Amino acid sequence: MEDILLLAPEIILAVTALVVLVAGLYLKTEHKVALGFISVAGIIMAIALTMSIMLAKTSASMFYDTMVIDPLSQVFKLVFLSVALLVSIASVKYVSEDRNTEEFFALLLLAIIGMMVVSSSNDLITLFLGFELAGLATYALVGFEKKNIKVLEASMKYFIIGAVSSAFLLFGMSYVYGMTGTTNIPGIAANAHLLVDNPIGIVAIVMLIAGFGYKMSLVPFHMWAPDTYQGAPSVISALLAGASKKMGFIAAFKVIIVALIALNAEWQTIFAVLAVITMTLGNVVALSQDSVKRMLAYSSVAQAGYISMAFVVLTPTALAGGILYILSHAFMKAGAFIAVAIVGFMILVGNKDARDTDHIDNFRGLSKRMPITAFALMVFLLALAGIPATAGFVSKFVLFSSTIEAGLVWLAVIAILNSAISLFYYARVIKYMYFMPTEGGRITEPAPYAIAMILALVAVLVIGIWPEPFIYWASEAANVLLI
Amino acid sequence: MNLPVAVVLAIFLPFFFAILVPYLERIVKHNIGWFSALIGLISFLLLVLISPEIIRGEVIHYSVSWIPSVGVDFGIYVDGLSLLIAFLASGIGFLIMAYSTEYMSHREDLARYYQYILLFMGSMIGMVFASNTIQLFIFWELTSITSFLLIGFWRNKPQSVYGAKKSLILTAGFGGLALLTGILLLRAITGTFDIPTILADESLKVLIKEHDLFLGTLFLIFIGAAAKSAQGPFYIWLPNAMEAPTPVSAFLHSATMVKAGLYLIGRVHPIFSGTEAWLIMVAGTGLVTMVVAGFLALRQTDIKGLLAYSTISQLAYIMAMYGYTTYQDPSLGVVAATYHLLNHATFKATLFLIVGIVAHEAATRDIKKLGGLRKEMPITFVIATIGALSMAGVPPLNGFLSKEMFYEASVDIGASLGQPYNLLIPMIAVIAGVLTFAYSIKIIDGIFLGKRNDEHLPKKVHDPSIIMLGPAAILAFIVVLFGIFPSIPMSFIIEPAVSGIILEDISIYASLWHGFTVELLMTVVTFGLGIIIYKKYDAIANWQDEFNKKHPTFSLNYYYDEIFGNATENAKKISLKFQVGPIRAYLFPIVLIAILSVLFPIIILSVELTPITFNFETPPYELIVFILIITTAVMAAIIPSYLPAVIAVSALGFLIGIVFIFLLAPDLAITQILAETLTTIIFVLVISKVPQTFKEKIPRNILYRDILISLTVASTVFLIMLYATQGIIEPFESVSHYFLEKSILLTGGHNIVNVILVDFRSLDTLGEIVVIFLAALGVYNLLHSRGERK
Amino acid sequence: MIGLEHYLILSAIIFSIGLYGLMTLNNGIRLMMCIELMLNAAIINLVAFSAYSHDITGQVFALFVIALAAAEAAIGLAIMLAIYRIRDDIELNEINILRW
Repeated sequence: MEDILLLAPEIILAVTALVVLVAGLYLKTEHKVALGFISVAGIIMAIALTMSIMLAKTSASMFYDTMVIDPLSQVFKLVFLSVALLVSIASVKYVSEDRNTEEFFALLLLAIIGMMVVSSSNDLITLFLGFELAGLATYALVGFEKKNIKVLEASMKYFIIGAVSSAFLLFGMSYVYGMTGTTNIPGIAANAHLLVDNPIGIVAIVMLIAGFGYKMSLVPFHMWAPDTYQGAPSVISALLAGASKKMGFIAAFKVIIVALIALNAEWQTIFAVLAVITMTLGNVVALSQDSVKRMLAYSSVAQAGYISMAFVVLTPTALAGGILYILSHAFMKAGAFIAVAIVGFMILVGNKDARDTDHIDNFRGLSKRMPITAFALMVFLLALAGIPATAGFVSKFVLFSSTIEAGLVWLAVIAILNSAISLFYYARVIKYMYFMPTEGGRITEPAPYAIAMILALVAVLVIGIWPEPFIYWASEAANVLLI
Repeated sequence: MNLPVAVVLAIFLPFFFAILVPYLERIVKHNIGWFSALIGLISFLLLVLISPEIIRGEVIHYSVSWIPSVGVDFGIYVDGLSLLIAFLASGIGFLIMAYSTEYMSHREDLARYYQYILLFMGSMIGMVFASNTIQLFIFWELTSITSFLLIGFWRNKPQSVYGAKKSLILTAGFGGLALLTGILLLRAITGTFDIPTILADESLKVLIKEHDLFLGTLFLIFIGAAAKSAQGPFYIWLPNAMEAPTPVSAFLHSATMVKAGLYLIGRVHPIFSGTEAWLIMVAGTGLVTMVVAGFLALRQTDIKGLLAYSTISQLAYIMAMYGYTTYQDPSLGVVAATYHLLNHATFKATLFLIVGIVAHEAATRDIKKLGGLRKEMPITFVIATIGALSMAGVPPLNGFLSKEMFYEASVDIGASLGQPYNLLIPMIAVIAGVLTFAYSIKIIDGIFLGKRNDEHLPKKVHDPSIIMLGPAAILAFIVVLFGIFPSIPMSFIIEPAVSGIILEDISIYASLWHGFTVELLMTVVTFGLGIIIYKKYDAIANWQDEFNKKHPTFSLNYYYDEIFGNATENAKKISLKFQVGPIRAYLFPIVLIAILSVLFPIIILSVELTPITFNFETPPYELIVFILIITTAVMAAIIPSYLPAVIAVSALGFLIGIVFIFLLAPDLAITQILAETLTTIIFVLVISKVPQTFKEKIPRNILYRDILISLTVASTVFLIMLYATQGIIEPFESVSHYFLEKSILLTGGHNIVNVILVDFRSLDTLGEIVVIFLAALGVYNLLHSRGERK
Repeated sequence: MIGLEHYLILSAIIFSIGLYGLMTLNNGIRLMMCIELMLNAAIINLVAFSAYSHDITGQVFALFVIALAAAEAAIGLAIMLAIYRIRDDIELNEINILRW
């Protein structure tokens, strides 16, 4: 029975999802705001429980070794839950006038459960199941505004690439199973040499990389990301960039690293090249974007490039840096997307039929119209660029310094050069917000949006100024991987 | 008061009050400037409080653990060098803020202005007192960002936004990140971020100098310093930074922020100096920059532009002198550099304040429109003359003495390097001196002497109030004082600062008159040549203009604009190639990369693709099913109308069910058939709602191309897998002996599967149910729009 | 006696046909079919490995995948239908607002 208690966060979320769904049937549209509060309450409870499990340093294996509880899984669960918290708080406003509120929150909660299952999974079957659970829920969430062709296109592209990647992933997994005779991840690790020595194993690994790479939006599996992030409702983009993408990383950490450790040095080079191409392409293309959401999407591609340096270096510090980066990026990107959602809201208040609410022209003089949003977005962007005193700096610092210490100076130099490029397009948005004149008057941010954004802001600054506990837990999580 | 507490207060008081400024502004209105100036003064006095300790030769070192897991502490390290810069930052900061109360119109956004200045001041003080490199870097970037905000203070001027962005990219972007890389490399070599540890440990310094990464580390740190101090090719940001309000230019872009790079050079001096790389990089860059910038200064018609180039040139003096200290007498260059650093801060800030006054009163900064103001602005004229003559190196002002020392150090280094440097370096020094002399005279002549330019000047021009004159006068007084009594700054400021660099106690003797020396001769030559050049001043400026018109590409700014100004367009060109839109184009690279990355290791592993021999003696009924499966798959992929294609897909599903029966998994076969039926029903339901054909109209040539590519891809994948499956047979062939036994085992396995589903894999089954439930929910949500149907 | 490699080759062929379909065709429903093909290929692999190595896990995995595939198809087709309601066609390459 104690095992079950360790899954209490997931169970609470599932119960919340059901309660929301059932309650939604009996509530009038104008009272459905309450559903948002129920979801938020459920997520907060799940966060508290997850933290208590993490702080107790519980390690356990459950359900015949298909699920594990360890610092790694708990850290990632917290990432997912935090993003879910931000998104659901912001969504209280976003879906406030929608009849289908209950479905939105239920899908959101189920998506998070899927991600949490992935982070706890210790078996390919469980992992694939969680992957699909999160995937299917987010496909539906992206297409939530079913009257908007842009949203549907985003959803369609996301779905197609997602489904193709699932097929790749599954095909790869079937070979892994065939080669090693088990779906249990530690079992695969024990038989990793069977995988690596054999061409079929190589095929399997490449297919796994393709399957996970799409969630991580590594080049060349990234192309869906800009379209989807741009087309999807901003709060959902926050969920995709903040949480869904991280699910790809935890899955890759669990499965691919096992193979990578056994693989030879050429593969390290291949991954390094993949990381370099990803960050460079993301940054260069981001330069040219006039849609802020699209810019954020490409920046997200670039960040995936930085994080995947951890796969190349593979030292405990580098993995800790990667995990810390994932944590920071979740807050920075989710916060930035929520800020963009607020701007979209502001534009729609002025003009109900406005299109392309995230166009950079709409950010002109934002510091006058919405000073809090402008300031928060500036901090998020500077954090993404890696400016000191923010979470972005600390995580870049840990990751890059570990890369240098591992002797991969060239990789670190390229990554740092890339950060310089990225400063250019982040500064452009800041320039529009702070240095451009505007006509519109002052507008107050809706409270739910503002609360979510400020929470993210606080997180970004706290990690930036007092990173020690976060680094500690990231190292604890990294140690799980390298034992 | 506890000394570390005083230091920490001096750093964080400005930060703290910067946050409060917008709120205080609502109470004290436009007097906010005086309030902010007071904060500057308090910081200054706090530093005065600790200075006796430092003058006595002590250092203050105090640190608390911050991010222990990566070895980063938060600490302060105060020695003479850092105290000197901190004094400049707080002292000149105070004067500038006082001056700004009059200079800045009350209509401006004053709260923002003083907020940024206070933030900058705090960052600058924090930067110099940082005891570890990461902390130094953090404050370093903060100074760049506050500078960015201040340059862009007048947001409505496109020029100031351009300048702001340029400075951010070059100082925070390139320079800052190069510095960070350098710091990380230094840590990789020494294993610590702590500055005093590296400074104190001789063996570490030896280790650094002998390390493979020495050159890279030095280079990156130097790039950081050069970008900040506008040296070498990075000088281009400083002239554009002149779009900032003039007090800001005086404070950040002449007296303090640009000194940060020099501070860094001084700080790492004990670590890197004494090597050829240091000499070539630091002194070489300095020597080239001082001449080029001095020459370019002649062309400027905007006085602020002229001062900007002169600042670059003067900073290059200091840079060169820090670079000199390789061989014979290391202290000579360091003393000269440090002294000039102090002097430059005083006389250049004076000049900037004068320019602010002139622009404020005469409403123009164009040297061609000014002239003859000496009678109307006598006090301003006197102060300006003191500043400009000091810059020109005329005795008895402080600039004279540091220039003498610069010449002395140049001769000294030239002599120690031997032919041909013993002539070359002093010559370069004199040329720089001549240029400096010429443009210094131009400032006085252009503004105050000659005929009054009535066409462009307002009718009445007069000296400003004491509030604006006061700070300039105080600085001018210091210029004179330090010139006549050089021993005051020497013993109280320069000696501690120099001993902070060379890490030993030093006693410097200096006086205004030091006898007939080579340096004095060089000074005389400088003045003589300077007067000659000044006569040709306009001719040279015109020639430069002409040259620039003829060769617009012969300029660093041109390339900067090409790269960064058009960055958005250039990036667009690149991105167009990568992001085309149609979904098929997205799938293409995925598959292609997958194939390539499979082929690559196979080639690397140098395994030969050998022809495979098959055992075709298989029972025909299995073969028939196989062929049927392949046929239906092909049909599903190519039949041009929906219904037959759907039928093909479901036929495939059912056939796979049969395969499962071959593989002795009947329960799976049933599931497959049930699921396939469901899928078929869904497909049929959907296609009944949409047009009945695929309506694929693709141009013929594109179609052929696509088919060709796809066939290649598909067959490559197939071949790879065919090859790959070869490996699998080996480990399992031995198993095939037990086929009969296994089948018996699997017959009992019907129940095993069920048992597994509800027990062994209960959680996954639960998950599965959730997925199905969720899919239903999603479909419901996507399709059913309650009452919203058209 | 039919060997494991025959099944593996069969699944490789089906997977390749699915890939071929993905890359030449640009209709939403056809894409769904091709994805079905690829998933079926994976299922064959799983069951074949399972049968030839006395290990039941592969069959269980296959069982899960069969249901997941149906769920995925349902969601995908629902998205296509939603698009069709607005656009009157499902030619994927014409759905192209989101770029630049």
